[in-house]
Amino acid sequence: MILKKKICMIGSYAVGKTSLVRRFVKGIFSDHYLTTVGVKIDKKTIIIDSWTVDLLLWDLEGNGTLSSVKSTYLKNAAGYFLVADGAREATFTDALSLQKEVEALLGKVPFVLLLNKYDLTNQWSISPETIAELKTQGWSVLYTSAKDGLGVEEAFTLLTQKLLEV
Amino acid sequence: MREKPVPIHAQESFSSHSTATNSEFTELQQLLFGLEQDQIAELQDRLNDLQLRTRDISEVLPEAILERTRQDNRISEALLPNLEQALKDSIQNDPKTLASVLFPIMVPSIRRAITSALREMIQSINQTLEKAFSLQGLKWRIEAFRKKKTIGEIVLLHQLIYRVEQIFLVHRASGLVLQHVVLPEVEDQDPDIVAGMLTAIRDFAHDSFNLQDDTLNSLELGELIIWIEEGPLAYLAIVIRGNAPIKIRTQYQDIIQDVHQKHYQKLEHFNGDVTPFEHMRERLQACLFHAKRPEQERGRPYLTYALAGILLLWFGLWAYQSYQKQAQFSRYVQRLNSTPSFIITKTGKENGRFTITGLRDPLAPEPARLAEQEQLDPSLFREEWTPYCSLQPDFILQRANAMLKPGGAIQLKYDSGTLSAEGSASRTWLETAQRLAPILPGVSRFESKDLVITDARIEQFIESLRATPGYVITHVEIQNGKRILSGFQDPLAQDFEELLQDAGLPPDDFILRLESYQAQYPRFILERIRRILDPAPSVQLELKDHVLHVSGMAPQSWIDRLVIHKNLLSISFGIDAIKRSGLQALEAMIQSIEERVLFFEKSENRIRSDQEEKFGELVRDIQRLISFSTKSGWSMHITIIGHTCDIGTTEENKQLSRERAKNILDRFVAKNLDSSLFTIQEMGYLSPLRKGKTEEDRHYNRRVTFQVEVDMESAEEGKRP
Repeated sequence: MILKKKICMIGSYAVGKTSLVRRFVKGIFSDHYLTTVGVKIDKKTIIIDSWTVDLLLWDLEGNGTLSSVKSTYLKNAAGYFLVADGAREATFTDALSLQKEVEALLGKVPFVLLLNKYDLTNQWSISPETIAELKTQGWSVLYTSAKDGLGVEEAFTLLTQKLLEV
Repeated sequence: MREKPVPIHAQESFSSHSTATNSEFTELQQLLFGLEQDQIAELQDRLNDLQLRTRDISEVLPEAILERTRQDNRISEALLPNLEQALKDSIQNDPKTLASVLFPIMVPSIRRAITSALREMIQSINQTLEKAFSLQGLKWRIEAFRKKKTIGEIVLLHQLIYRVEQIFLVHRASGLVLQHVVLPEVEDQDPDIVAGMLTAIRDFAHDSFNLQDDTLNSLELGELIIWIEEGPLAYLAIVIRGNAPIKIRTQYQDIIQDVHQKHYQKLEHFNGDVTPFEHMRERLQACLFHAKRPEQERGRPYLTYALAGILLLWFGLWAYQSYQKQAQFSRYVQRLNSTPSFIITKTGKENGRFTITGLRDPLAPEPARLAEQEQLDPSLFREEWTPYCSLQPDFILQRANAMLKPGGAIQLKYDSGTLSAEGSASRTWLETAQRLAPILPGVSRFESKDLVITDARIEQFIESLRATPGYVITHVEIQNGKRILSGFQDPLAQDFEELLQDAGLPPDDFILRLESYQAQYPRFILERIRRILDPAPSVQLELKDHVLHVSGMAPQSWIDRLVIHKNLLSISFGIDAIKRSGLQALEAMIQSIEERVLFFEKSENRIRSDQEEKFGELVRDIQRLISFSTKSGWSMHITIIGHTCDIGTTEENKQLSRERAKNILDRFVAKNLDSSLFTIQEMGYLSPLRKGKTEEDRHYNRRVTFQVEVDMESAEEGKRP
């Protein structure tokens, strides 16, 4: 059975959203769209069991808050990735507040928190305790590195599974 | 059977009037209609039972409908509104049922319709292509080239006023594509991504410019126009090339309305499953409208014909020329192929020019010359030759000739790896050839056994040999590199090997086939006579006008023999003259010896070092005298006399003078002179050369002198028979 799902990449500026998407799929639009329209869309088909899921990845231009334009782009997303740069704590704080905004807008839809740039472990600024606490609240948290490709495929598969569970 | 309900009414009215008499009346009834009353009751029950009544009607209804349909169409009229309502309800409830019923009928019809439309389009394109050689056709071709599109696309664009290329049915909130159709010839990107981006751009526009929802209903992008037909939950994006009439827009509006009407729930709770919208595909496909341009009036067909004619003529001419060029080129290629030392690896055509790539031996003929012979214009083709060494025998030979430069007198031949030289060559050339030939490609051996080494010195030598008295060279032949000299040689002529030595030539270069002969040179004749006569040294022989003149001094025995040969050799001679001149010679010889004085160092028995030369001359004089005496049959004797200066006692001086004479005698013996011919005599200071007492005088006195005696008679007597 074929399903189409809109998912969004949300996070602060330069946390690596576009790189994660680029790591995952080769799109037809240039990154130029991000700076002009504020969004770039790519597609990736994931097959899980008997399901064929076409993920339409809306990569939103990043900053700490949701502008009106960006909230429009979020509309009707089936799920989202919350992306933070593990080496910059501010982006993590942004991600937490963004999540609240998005949830207010979309309701409780599946999402996965991606702590990107895991390749820069020596500059890591988020404590394992913080992550553990989020996990107890039912959050899915994954460490990723768009540079090495670490956890990227898993992240997309995990979110897809969560989408199918809804 | 029809039952009238009359009795029941009767019974009801009756009972209302009098209930008292009810039982009696019942009894009466029973008496009067006993059986019928039961039947009436049964009928009444039947009428009241709906189930029974339905079953009764169902038994007669089909026949009744059939009967009535035969009479008129009232039943159809009666049923139509119900039927319509029923279908409507069915579609609204679950359209699948009806769709699945209609699917087998509708799909083939739609397919037929599409096929027919396509056929029409192809016909139209064909017509256009038929016009391809018209001016307009050419224009389109240029346009296709300029816009980097296929000619078909350009033709289509010019033949059509507009065409709808793609239709997207998009879920408005999520931007996900519910359905998408596209013309097969249109190159499309992933519809999901395109629709997503379109949605994003629309949202962007709405939010950025505070537009109302329905206001952004078209986008213009170059030759493309995108119409947006909005619905509350979904929208249609219709991608059109050209100018579509606004009237067709209503059809898309209908579609979007229908989608909402039928799928409102599904659109509202859209979860990504697009299966329910699958059926929209056919409907959207049918809405890929297009409109053709009306046929243009033909203006001047004659002009078109003329142009077409000229074009055809030009094309024919061009084709003919192309054929000619191709044929010329083929001949040229064939020519190259058959010419050794050209190896063609590739031929082709590039930017309208023929191309040849291959290998060429540098010794091969110039390709330009071959092309000229084939009358091929050099500008028509481009060739790339990589140099290589051909191992064709002809080329190996050519290369050898170019490298070794044999000149006219040498002929080079090549056979199975062996290069051989024939003719005559200088030694320098041979040495160079021996060094270079084996490094030539294809040459493994150099053979020069048939090569004659010519040497200027040899030729010069042969010439000088011809001029040498006693040699007559009649024929010079060369065999295995050696010269065979045929002819004659006088035994008296100078030895051949000596001549070679003088010329500095090796004897191996010559083979002599010379026969003996007697040269007629006076010198040779004289020599020959001399050998026969064996005269004494005191005898002079001279040939003048074939007459031998003999003079000098000779023993009688020899003169006697000479007389025997006189007639034989035409000799003229005088014995007195011989004797006279012979004595003179003898005297001269004796005088020469006796006049010689060898000086010595003071108190030494060795001659002074400056006397050695004189000593040598003396030895020669004595030898000559011995020879002369021997031949003449005379005996001779030489006394070696030693002298000293006045210093010392007489005895000492005698002793020293003897030693000096003895020393000279020893030295004569060392020079192979017969010791019996000599005696020594010591004079001491008895016979000084100078009487003085000065050192110079003494110097002259320290000496050895000689005294010669020749006894002619004794010998003559001994020899005389």
